[in-house]
Amino acid sequence: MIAWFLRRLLQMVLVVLGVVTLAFIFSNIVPGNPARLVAGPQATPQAVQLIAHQLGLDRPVLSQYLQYMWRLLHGNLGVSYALEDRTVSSEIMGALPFTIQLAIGGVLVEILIGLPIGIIAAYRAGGFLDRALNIVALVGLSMPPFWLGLMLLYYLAYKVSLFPLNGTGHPLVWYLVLPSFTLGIGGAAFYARMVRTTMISVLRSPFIEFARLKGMPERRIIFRHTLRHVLTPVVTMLGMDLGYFLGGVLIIESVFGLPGVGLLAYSAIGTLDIPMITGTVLVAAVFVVVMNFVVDVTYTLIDPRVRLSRR
Amino acid sequence: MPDAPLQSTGPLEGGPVIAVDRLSVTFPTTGGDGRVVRDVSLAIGRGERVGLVGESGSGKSLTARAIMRLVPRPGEVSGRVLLDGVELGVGATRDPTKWRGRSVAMITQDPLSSLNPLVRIGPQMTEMLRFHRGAGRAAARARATELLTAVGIPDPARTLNQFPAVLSGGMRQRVALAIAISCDPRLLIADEPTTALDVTIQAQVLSLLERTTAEHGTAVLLISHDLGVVSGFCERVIVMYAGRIVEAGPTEQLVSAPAHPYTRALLASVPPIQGELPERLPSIPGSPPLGGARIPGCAFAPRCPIARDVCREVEPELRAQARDGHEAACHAAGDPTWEIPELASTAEALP
Ligand SMILES: Nc1ncnc2c1ncn2[C@@H]1O[C@H](COP(=O)(O)OP(=O)(O)O)[C@@H](O)[C@H]1O
Ligand code: SF4
Ligand SMILES: [Mg+2]
Repeated sequence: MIAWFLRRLLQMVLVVLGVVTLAFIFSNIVPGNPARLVAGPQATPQAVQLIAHQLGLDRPVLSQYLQYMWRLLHGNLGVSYALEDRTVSSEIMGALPFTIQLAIGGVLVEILIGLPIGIIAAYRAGGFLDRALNIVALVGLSMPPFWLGLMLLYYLAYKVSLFPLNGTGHPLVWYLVLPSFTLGIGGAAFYARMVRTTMISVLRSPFIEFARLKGMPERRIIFRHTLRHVLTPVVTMLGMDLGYFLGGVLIIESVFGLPGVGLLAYSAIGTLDIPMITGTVLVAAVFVVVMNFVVDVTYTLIDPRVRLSRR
Repeated sequence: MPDAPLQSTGPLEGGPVIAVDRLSVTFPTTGGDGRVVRDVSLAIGRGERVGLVGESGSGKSLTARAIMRLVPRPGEVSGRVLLDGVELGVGATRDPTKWRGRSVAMITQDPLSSLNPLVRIGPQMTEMLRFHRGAGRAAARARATELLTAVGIPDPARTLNQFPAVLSGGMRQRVALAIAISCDPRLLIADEPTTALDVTIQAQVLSLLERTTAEHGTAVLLISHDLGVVSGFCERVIVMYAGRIVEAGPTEQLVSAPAHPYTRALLASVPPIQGELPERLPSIPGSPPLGGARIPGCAFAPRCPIARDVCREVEPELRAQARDGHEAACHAAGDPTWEIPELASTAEALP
């Protein structure tokens, strides 16, 4: 188990370093001169030269890369090119709370809506309720988030002032209801389908029949004997989604005016702010990798067979 | 169609524990008329051990599931099942949790996967005691330990905390058996309980089944495709073919003087218990009709060595034979004008 853990840890570090390297390479091969963007359209070539020198852009890419990595090892993500004297970490720290809360809201919507619908549909498989829920799920899956977000804003915030129109404020939860819903609804539909499929196959397995032969009540058969099996795929997806959402969800953030990591990364790309781009990519990679690890550990907790195989 | 509702009834003390009356199972999607179990009637007395044999596909498992009222959709069941004279599924027994596991228990064909892989053995055992008997946590656990000891699990306390995956197939089957008998049911249905196990463990599980049920006077319906297994264990044997009972009677009678050609063929395909195994086991040529296929006359006729024209036209009814409690559904049974070929010698080696 310890060996497995260490192996995973090493793997995670390598993946993150790899992603950062790729981000660095791509930022450097896109056409465009960051120094020119920083200096502004009216700047003289000399001024651009000077700024390039200040930013270290006149040195070989390899040396820039090594310097970046060296600083990274010390927890230093560098200084933004575009927003002068702001460190990348402070900018990211400022944006993270919005992103984190939005991500949590999104996955909450996914489970709170997806799980019960999937369970009910599986239990009534083939029946009217199942078919009705199937249609609802299809609708949920096929709505583009930006359109849904705008519709929600128009009807629930503008026409009927149920929710705040835009941006952030106090309490933040209030401002996060519509974005979370918009973020999570597609996933909720997907979860419902997946939970339904898994549950139907679990309900057919011999141990469920045996539980019935034992005279156990249906309630217990569902909650004690079936749900645990449904949990494994749900946890996987949940972990993936959370990791992905935590990297910033640009569309939702921009529709609802939430200053999260997604918007930060977006504007950094617009200004070729290489340290900021690399920093936001790093954060996204770390979240995905860490959530993957959390998923794996959770498997071990849910399924003893996995535990055995990792001895 | 049998005239008397409760045939295949052996000598019983008091009323039967379970009486099955013209039970049929129909799958509308299957070919033919879709009836894969046809008018099965049987009764089992208190503490009696009855065997149900037949080739795979003859409807044994579905008969058991119909008794348990757990026939999978879209199967339809007709007929009645009476437990101690009370019809199951009607009135107070409409709620299956009132009698399943508690009065009638069943272990299935697939014992290796009948335990939930994600739940420890302990709760899988105690949930039944707690639910049916209202036992407290500690009492249920103590009883579970006792039961595991009774079925020969070496370290019961430890096993209770383990997951099924760490146990061998034989051990899991013992646990399933311990669970099934935990509430002292009146009847235990064991559907091919040893088929998935290897031969040495088979014998152990069977003797365990005998011991644990004899202690509490639990009646047993042992289902197997192997007449050898059944005849060694049961006082009475019921033979099924293509969804129907074709012969029933005391084991001794059925083995020494089978009345139905199908039973004779089954006997001939049983390996001898003593002595050398023959080079090749004689098996029954041909195959049984597929689920629910409708055949005019006797369903066994296409494979029967002594079939005559009448067999292909008139379906033989289950009729009482010369000896008490012996019945067979064959035109040739008890009719001296039919030439009955010699029994294969292997059958004589049976108990
Ligand atoms: N779920 C089902 N749907 C349709 N047909 C079935 C189903 N289960 C069993 N059958 C049919 O019913 C017949 C009897 O099956 P079963 O009772 O399992 O036989 P046995 O236990 O004697 O091997 C078989 O021919 C099988 O094809
Ligand atoms: S009724 Fe005829 S075909 Fe059927 S078993 Fe008897 S002899 Fe054979
Ligand atoms: Mg079977």
